[in-house]
Amino acid sequence: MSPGLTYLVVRCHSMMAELLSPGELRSLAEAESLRELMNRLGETPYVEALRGVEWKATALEGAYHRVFIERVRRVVELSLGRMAPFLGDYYYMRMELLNLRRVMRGLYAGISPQRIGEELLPLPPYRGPDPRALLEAGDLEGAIKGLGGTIYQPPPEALRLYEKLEAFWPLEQALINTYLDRVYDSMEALRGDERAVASRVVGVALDVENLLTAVKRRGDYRAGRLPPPEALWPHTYRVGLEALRDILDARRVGDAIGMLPQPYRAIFEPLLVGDVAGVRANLNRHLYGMMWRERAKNDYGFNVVLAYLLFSEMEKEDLIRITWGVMEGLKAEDILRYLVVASQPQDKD
Amino acid sequence: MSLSDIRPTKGFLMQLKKRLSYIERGCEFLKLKRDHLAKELTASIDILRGRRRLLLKNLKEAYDAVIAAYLSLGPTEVESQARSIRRRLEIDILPKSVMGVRFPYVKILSKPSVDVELDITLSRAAEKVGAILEEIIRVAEFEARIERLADELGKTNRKVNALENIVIPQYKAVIKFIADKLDEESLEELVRLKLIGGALARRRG
Repeated sequence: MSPGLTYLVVRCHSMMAELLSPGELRSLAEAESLRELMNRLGETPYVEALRGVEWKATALEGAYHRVFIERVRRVVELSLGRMAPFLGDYYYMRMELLNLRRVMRGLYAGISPQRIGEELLPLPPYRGPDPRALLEAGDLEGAIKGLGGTIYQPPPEALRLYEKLEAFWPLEQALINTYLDRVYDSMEALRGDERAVASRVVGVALDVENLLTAVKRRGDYRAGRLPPPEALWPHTYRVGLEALRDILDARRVGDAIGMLPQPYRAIFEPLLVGDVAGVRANLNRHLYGMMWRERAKNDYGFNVVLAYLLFSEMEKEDLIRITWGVMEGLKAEDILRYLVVASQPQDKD
Repeated sequence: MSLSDIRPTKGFLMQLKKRLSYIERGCEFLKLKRDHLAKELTASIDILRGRRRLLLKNLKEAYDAVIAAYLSLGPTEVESQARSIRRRLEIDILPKSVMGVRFPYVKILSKPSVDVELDITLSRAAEKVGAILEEIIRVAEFEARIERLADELGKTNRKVNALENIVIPQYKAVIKFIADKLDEESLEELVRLKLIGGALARRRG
């Protein structure tokens, strides 16, 4: 193991100790008021990040994102040549994509640029232009022009579909496909064993999102408004185009779900009772458990680095859910249904 | 009717009797209206009870879906996507009348249409909320209708009671008074005539 990787792994181990345990997150979810939640958060490493932040769900969400972005930055800066592009693309580009989607969606809907600006994650430009510069274009067509010459420039097919269907989703799908192309490209630079772990994490999440898209697009498919599946899903992992077509064609989605291999059948079980959010919760729990096991297999390599970032991201998402849930007065068991880290068994404390 | 208005004449008596007949007929019509309103109100309350129960069930499902969307995507993403729904609910409130009772009828001019891409969790929530929007409007219409029916029923009932217990008895009392007065006068006239006749006969004899 190179000295650089040793240092990175040791740092990741020590940073992992800062992460909140399942028990701590469960305790936060059980707070009976926002004041109680903030008092409990005051005893965690989030105390500095939350100082002076308005006690509004969106403002607190921004603070959690800032902590996570800082953690990603620290790891990417320390990462070796082959790992940094993959980790940067997988995390930074995903957040950049979120910002671009919010900008374009907001401009499409005629929301004021100031309002859109308030929703953006505090991320410097990574592979694309500054999203705030795109806001100055004032409308979607201007923003599309602003993406010209960058990696996010929509392909002609996406623009044609956008104009033909007068719908925004072809442009969004083009951005997602650009992101996936980039992630798979940078994954190639990883070593074989590292690539195997990365492709499992990326692949399972990709399959689940592809399946959710197929469930959602059944109406468009029947109305003949979908592009060919190969264009819609250029990347798949274990759930191929055949299975996705089965979802589109199925008379009852439940029957097609029942034919999926594991772990997808288990992940999609909540969909059978209409709980789509439960599908994502199951996915995230599956990824968390998978990375826990991968880390246990190899505690001195890339697995630790990816595990730290994945666990950090899950913690951030759990905190966002807990904060909103406590503010809305939801019962702890209703919040816990969708939590990832907090729902892990005690031995992961 | 005050005592100063009473003219104990045959003409006035006939007028009063005619008026009383109109009032009694009007009272009968008002009783019919009251009975009909009561029936309509009872039926409407039963329908509203059923609709409310169904609406509450659907509302709970819609709220659960919205909560799930917030817990899945986070508040910023939900609000960002929700704000991009362009077409709003537009309604026009028109008057409708049944048996003279006016109540509002809500005409839906346009429903919110989701022409932007919502995440699947949010689009499921939007579908459920969209489906119950019209239910909520119809329940609100029904509640306004029931309120107005109950109001009108109350007014009609008060009118019927006022007519039956005050106006009609008053008229009957005045009619009796005048009739008695006229009878008395005609009796006096008769007695006077008899006395005069007797006196005249005695004078002649």
